[in-house]
Amino acid sequence: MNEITITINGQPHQVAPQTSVLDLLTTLGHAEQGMALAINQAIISRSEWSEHLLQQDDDISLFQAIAGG
Amino acid sequence: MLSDAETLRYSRHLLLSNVGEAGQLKLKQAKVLIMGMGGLGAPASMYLAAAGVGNLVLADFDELDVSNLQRQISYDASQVGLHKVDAAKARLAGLNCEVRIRGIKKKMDAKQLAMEVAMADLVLDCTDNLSSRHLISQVCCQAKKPLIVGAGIRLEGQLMMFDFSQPDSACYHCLFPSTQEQTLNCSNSGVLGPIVGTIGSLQALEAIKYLVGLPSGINNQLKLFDGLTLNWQSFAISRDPACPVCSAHE
Repeated sequence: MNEITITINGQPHQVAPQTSVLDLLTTLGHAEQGMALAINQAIISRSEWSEHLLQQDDDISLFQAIAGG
Repeated sequence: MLSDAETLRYSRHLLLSNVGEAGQLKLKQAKVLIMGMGGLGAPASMYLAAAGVGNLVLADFDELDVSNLQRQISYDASQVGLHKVDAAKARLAGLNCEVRIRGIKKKMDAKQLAMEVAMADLVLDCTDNLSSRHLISQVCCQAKKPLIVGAGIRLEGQLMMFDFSQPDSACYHCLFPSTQEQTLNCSNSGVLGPIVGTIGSLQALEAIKYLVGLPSGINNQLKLFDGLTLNWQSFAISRDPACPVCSAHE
């Protein structure tokens, strides 16, 4: 099957169709705690990561909680 | 009614159609709880005192360290070793003696925090660790009090608001469910002073807007600030239906 193209923090990335958010983060080694993820400027809750499937041209932002102040 | 002295002092607010005398009186009657008096709390408290917010409660158990002076701009070198809330009280009283300021110098447990939050109209999270951030959000959610959260590290800032007085508000836990303390803070990663200065000032701006009745630009949103490019990114935060914190307080 053809791969789909997404961007992660602005960088293009190829993934297989039917890849979930959790699959992606596991592959990237970012599934650890403390990360948040948004697709097309909307945060995807951690409880939805395993079911939410990536779509062609998804714009993904990945970032960490900042505690400092 | 504002006194003549207040009319003079706040004349630049009174010129604004969306503040005016009615807004200034709302500020005067308001009570804001500021959790953490570091790089965020210092500028936030200065702007709120200057703006005439009538009651400020400052919570921080730290003493001023010389390494704080690089960014915590309400303090001066002669105050090193003092409790931050005492140093801040002196500074803010000098700025605006009409503001009533109370300091809390000990670490609060959930029960004490709940009492303080219940007495406040609005809470600013200006703390420096994840466990405090989670506790504050949980307590504000329970008490249905609006919460404005700021954070800064290195050259990055984060800003968000959860108005728990509104139904269906998301919470900090929906966004960052992990309570594990492995996150970045100023002592392990460093920070440029104007980063926390920017975020703390915007927390004060959002607080003033909320108190005078203006709509927030950040409710249920996360704003990320990149201090290298000066770019902002905005993300919508939806309530996580599986969140054990906010779904428990419907």
